[in-house]
This record gives sequence, structure tokens and C-alpha cells, in this order.
Amino acid sequence: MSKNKRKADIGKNIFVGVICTILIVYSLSLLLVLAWGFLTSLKSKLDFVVFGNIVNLPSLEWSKTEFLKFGNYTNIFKDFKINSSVDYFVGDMPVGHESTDNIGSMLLNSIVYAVIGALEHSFIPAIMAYMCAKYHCKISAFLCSLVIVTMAIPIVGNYPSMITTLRALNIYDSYLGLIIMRFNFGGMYFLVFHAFFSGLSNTYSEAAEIDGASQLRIMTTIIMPLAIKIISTVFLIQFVQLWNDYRTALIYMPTHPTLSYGVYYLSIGTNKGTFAFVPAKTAACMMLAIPILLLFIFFKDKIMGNVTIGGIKG
Amino acid sequence: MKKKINQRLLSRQLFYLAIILLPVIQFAIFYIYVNLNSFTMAFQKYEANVDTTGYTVTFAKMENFKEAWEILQKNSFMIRNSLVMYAFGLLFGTTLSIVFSYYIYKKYFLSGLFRVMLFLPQIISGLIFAILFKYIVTDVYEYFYLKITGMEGTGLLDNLDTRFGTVVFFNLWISFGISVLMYSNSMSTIDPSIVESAQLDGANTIKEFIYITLPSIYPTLVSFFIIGFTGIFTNQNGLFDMFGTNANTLATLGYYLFMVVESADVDTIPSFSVISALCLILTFVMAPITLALRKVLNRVGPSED
Repeated sequence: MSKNKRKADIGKNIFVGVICTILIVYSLSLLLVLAWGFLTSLKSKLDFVVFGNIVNLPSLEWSKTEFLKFGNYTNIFKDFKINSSVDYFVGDMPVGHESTDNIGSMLLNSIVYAVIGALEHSFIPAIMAYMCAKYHCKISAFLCSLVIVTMAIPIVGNYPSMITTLRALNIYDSYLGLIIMRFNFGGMYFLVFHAFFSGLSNTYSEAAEIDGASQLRIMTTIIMPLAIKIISTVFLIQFVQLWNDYRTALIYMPTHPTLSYGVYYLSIGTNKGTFAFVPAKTAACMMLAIPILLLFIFFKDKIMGNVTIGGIKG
Repeated sequence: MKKKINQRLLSRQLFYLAIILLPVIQFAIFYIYVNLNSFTMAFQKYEANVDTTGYTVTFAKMENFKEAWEILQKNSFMIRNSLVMYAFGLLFGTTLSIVFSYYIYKKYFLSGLFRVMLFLPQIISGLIFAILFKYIVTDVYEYFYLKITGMEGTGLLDNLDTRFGTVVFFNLWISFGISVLMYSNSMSTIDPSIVESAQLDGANTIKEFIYITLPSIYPTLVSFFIIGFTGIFTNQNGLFDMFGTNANTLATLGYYLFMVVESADVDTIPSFSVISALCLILTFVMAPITLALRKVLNRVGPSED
């Protein structure tokens, strides 16, 4: 028996040792890549390109401004601009949008884009789930089934149709279009909220109703505060995703570039000029990563602790 | 009294309708109409007007489908790339995710730290990791290659023999975040008394993993499998982040669909119809397979016993 136990312990120790080593290597690989990116962002073009300082610390001789005064970052803040334009037809009428955005307006676009999107993605499913869970009728049952069916049917790509619809409605490349597009209630979070509200006792709302509270008051001041923990978790997860998302802006809001779009443009799109060298591009990457890293540090447990495939623990 | 109850019921119904109205209209337009329109577009032909602005739209019969089929035939490497990347992710990504999750669930050495580290690629944009990774496997690789061998080397993404493998590796490298979190959270719902009794019966770590842990996360596993499967032809696999519109022979179908739409202007809008036809073909292939797969996986899964 004790021989078997010893054998089992050895097996377990080998498993733990091997996996621990792999995970240490993996963690280091992530950290080293980020550290390399940060150090490179503090180097000058001369230091990195001409003197081939690829992996060492920035040279104080050649990268003084970049290292001590964050030169690459200030250059991006001062000089980086995106000139964007889009032309299309609404019926037979030609429409053209143009814009020139600096890093400030990209940052503002990012904040607006991520905050509005996250608010919609957290509150709309919550409100609709509440309606379906607590107002029992055929419509509610139908809406619940609809959400499940749409999640089960894999539709490959509808970008062209979405673009033509937005253009036909004359809301393409606008915040109004984005707000309307994001106003959807389907998806996994609807089911999460539905499970939560279904399990919620009716006594709260019934007591309030007897006291004369309106339906709107019950929803906004009694029910939603009870779900605020889940709503805020969904908000944070969505905020992080939308902050990092540049593809939606690229396709649906081409003249409203976000910071993420700016990083993509600077890293992939620009092949000549002031920012066509690696340190400037890594500086742009760091500018995008730092705010979200800070958010993660403060809300780590909230973002990570509550996610499961079946739902979110409140 | 009855009047009061009726009034309350009416106000409830009005409130209900007022609240659900806008989201339902949004759903009708941006899900139902958009997808129906996608279907319609696949049978339409857009031709730029000569005398006036805009397009004339005509019925295209099956022309768009023929063109879409030709695209698939000419670029069969995109299908192969999509399938290989998915298979690699499924085989190695899922296996490693489950093993890492088990490690975290059992709270072995530094599991809290590893949980955060594995989630990091979910927090920091994939675009950032793609850009930094690209420079690591080109500039940094070439630097060390020269240092070690004394010869000029070619970056892993510039070398035709290694570039596909490098992209596959990149996708694996940043893939663990959400799956590890979900699997380990699922594992944490296992009743400790079941594990304890199994251990008392002499089950070792491997037996416990196979007979208790794996069956308990089976629904999550199936969900991830299905989500991954439905994304085979829409996943861009970080190619757009890394190469912009120049992925060339590395392209997957998801990358191609996005790239064509992203780079479309007034002159190339007619190509939208062909893309819609292509999407329709792929949906018709994927939808029945996915639904059948889901049914089979749910049927063959382990029972509660």
C-alpha cells in the first residue's frame, strides 16, 4: 500500500515538476516579449537600426532623449496623425467622409467606443433578460428560444451585408450607427443574466409594487442594483475587448480611428516616414497596452474570477 | 379592486412592450434582415452606372456562386491553412489548456501566478503580441543567429520553410487565456467529497484526472470545441494583426473574407456579392456539420453516474 502511495507521489511530483517548468517558460516568454517591447520603445532609430542594438538596454549615448524623456512616446503624441477617408453611395447619392486624427482624438474615440459598447453589451442583455425572466408570456419564451437558436446557427461572415445595410440607413461610419449596431441583446451574457434573474425571488418587486412603485422604478432602483455585480463584470470584460478591437473601427467606422486602429495603422500601414522604425512602433504598442494593464491590475479578480462557460458567479 | 388589478396588468404589459420594442427592432434589422440580405446579395450583380452615380442591381442567377467556387478552387491553400491551424489548436491547444487548468485547479505550486499569466494575452491586445512577436522572430532571431553561428540568418517569418509553422506557434502561444480560465473554473465546481472518496479508493492523479475531472468539464469542452469549429472559416489567426493585407500564402479563409471587405472601395463594391455567395457556401457546409457534431458530442458524453 505504502509502496503504491510512494509510486503515486513520485508520479504526481513528476507531473507537477514538468508542468510547472512549462508554465514558468511560458510566463517568462510573455514577460520577456513585453519587456523587450518596452525597452525597444526607449531606443532611438540610430541606436536600434544603425548600431544594431537589438536586445541590450538603450544606449545613453544614442538614445538619451528616447530613454530619459520618452522621446518616441512624445513624438507619437505630437506628430502621429491618420488621414482617413471613405466614399460610398446611399442609393445614387455619393457620400464621402474625411478626417484627420491625432493621438488625442484617437484616444477619445477609443474611450467613447469602448465605454458606449461595454455599457450597451452589459445593460441591454441584462434588461432584456430581466424582462424575459420576470414577465412570463409567449413573447418572452420566444425571445429566449431565439437567443439560443441564433447562438447555435453558425453563420460565416456577413460583413458585406452589414456594411450595405448601414450605408442604406445612412448611419455608416458614425457613432449613431455604432450605437444602434451594438444595441443587441443576444449572446452568452443574455443567458447568464436570464439564469440570475430567474433565480431571483419575486418578493422584492411584489413588495415595491404594493407600495405603489412603478415598473420602471422597480427595474431601475430595485432589480438592477441586485445584478450590478454581474453587470459590472460584463462591462469590464467587454471594455477590455472593445479597447483592443481595431477591426470593427476599420470596417464600420473608417474615419473614426481608435487608439488600437492607430497602432495597427502605425505598425502595419506606415512603411516610411517618422514612425517607420521598430522603436516607434513598439512605443505605440506600449501606449495601447498600459491603460488596459492598469485596469487589469486594479480589477484582476473581478475580470478573471467570475467567468465560467455556464455563467458568471455574482 | 378588479379595475385596479386590470390597470396594474395593463401598465405591466405596456412597460414590457416599451422596453423590449427597441432591442427587438434592432434584432430584426441587424440580425434577421442583415442575414437575409446576405442571402439576397449572393444572387445580385452590382454594376456601376455609366451616366449617373450609384449602381444598377440585377439578378445574377448563379454567377456569384460560380465565381466564389473558383476562388475556393484557386485558393485551396486557404482552406488547408484554416483546417491545419484549427487542427493544431485543437490537438495541442486544447490538450495543454486542460493540463494547465488541472494544475491550476489542484492549486499546485505558483498556480495563482500562472492563472494570471495565462490570462494575460486575453487582456493585452492580440495586435500588440502579434507585432512584438513578429519583431522577435525576425530582428531578435536574426541577431542571435548571427551571434551564435557567425552567419547571417533569415527571420522565421521571412523564411518560406518556417513562416507557416511560426504563425501556427503564435496562435498556440496566445490561445490559452480564456479556455484555461473556463476549464479551471469548471473543475472548481467538482464536489470535493467525490475526489476525496476516489483518493481513498486508491485513485492516483492520472486516474482522478481521467475518471473525475475530464467528465466533469465535458460540457465546457464540447462548448469550446463547437465554438472553435464554427470559427474555422472566420478566424483570422492573427494574420491581419501581423501582416496587414500581405499574408499571401499564409492566408486563411477568415483572413481573406475580412481583407476583401476591409480593402473594398467604391469600385470594388461589386465584389461584395461574390463574398456573400462565398459566405453562403461556407455557411451551408458548416451549419449542418456543426449541428450534427453538437448532437453527437452531447450524446456520447459521459453520464452523471
